[in-house]
Amino acid sequence: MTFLRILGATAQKDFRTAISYRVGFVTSIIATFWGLFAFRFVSKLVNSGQFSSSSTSYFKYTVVGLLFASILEPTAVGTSVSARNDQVQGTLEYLSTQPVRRAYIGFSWSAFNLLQSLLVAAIVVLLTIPLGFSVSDVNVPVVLVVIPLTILIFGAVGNMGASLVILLQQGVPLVAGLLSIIGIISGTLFPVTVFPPWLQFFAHLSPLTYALDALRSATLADQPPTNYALDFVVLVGFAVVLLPLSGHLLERSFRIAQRRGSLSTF
Amino acid sequence: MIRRPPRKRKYAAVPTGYGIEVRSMTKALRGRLILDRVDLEVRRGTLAVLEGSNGAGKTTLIRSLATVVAPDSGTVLVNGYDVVRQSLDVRRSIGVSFANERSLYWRINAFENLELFGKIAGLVKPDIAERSVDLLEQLRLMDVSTLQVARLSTGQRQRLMVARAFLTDPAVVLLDEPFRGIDGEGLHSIIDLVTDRVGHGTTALIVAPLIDAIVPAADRTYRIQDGRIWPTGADRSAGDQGDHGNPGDQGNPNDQGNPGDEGNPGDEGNQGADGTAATTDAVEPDGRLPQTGGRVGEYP
Repeated sequence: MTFLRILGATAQKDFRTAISYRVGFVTSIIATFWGLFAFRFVSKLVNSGQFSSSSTSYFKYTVVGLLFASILEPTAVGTSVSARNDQVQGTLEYLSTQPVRRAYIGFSWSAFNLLQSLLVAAIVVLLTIPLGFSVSDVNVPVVLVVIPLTILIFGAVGNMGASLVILLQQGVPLVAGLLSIIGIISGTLFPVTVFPPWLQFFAHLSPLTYALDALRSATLADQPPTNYALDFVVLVGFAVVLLPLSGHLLERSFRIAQRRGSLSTF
Repeated sequence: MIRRPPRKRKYAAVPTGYGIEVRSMTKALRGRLILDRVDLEVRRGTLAVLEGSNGAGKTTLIRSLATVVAPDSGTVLVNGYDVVRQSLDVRRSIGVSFANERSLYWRINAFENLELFGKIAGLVKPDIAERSVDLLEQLRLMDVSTLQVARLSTGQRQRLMVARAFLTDPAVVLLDEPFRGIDGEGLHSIIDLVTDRVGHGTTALIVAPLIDAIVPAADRTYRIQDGRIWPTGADRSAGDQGDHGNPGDQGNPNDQGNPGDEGNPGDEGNQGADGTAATTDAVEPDGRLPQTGGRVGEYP
């Protein structure tokens, strides 16, 4: 209850801040749509081989990958960015005096970014339909489990990034870079099977690989629930390990910063 | 009605008559000793004022009390809770105003800032609204409460930070340089608010480089210099408890007028049951700290 209260209050504050910069929301829709629009033409070049024999076009494949990445990116990187903003603005020090667990503050950092990116993704899905993207035969329960589960995992990654920000006054480029690598090796733009075996090994260490597998199967080629079992188990495993670990790391980073007296430095 | 037994706590609050109790606290930052075996006691329901020049360690002390900076050694209790082992309980007990106007969110308005921190602290919406209006009125900010903080003046932001510190009606309030950029009207609104809340049981500590205006309202005044804290005036908070012997008074030649000091002719007649009268020894009639004898630099 406390956690949800903080989440709501922080999201409301970020919403109020965001609407004071109205152009940002519109440009994020245009940027996301434009990125996908380009892949409509790339798709015409690569609709061969693996994609020519499948009901899934390369365009549909990338729409799912890129939209999902556009939701996860603000969740993970947004947390570090918000932590850094609070640090630079001077609000981090004050937030750390609030009568709540500091990990709750960390998790709340990404709340508005996440809601905004979900809204942007929904609008962009509608905009891509005339370009040939269809979402018929969607396995809704699978989508409703996989998306929140992956968001939680990447929220935890974001919290770890925020821990670095609190400790080292940096961490945003690290998380952004890590996410970019994870995005590529997890099959956002290409199937993992095209990678050499050593890269496929790393791909299978990434939770995004399993999330994209499940999501594409559920949206583009509806499959029976048994086909998602491995993906679910792996995603739940990641969430169970990473969520408490990230909360612990965040609390610990606050304590170390307290000892160093660096909570108010940037 | 069946009441659930209270949850067992790992550490309980230390029963103490002090809202703030610092014992032999030391803190070094980046290799520099900022606070050196500092002692400070502020009785519950009293106002203490700590003056000191820039870089004397005032802000580090406030940050330690607010759990932002952990002490290297010594004991720091706020509302009976240890700032290291019971930091969450300490944070539930305090209201803070740091000397940093950027600790507000500038892109939202004054009322929304109070609403945000009220919600985080667990206040319900009607309470937040009622308390916010009350505080904004007392601090004469109602007219600007719907303006973005970015559009407020420095003094208005300062008062807003003070309002935020009192929002949860905390047991202990810590104000770091609350008079920065404040005009006469704003200054008196802050002093009135603080003294009113102290009168209702809140413990308050104000630190500032120049404290002339607040001195008459203070129960106890201190000076921080070279990492140490010295009492500079009488202890009005002792009331009729006859607390005339603050350890810090011993051997401090500049601590004129403290009833605990020996050999100061001015002390005669001020050591009665009511310690309040003794304050006049330390404070000039216009409320200024005595400036005779070149106080700065003469502390041991």
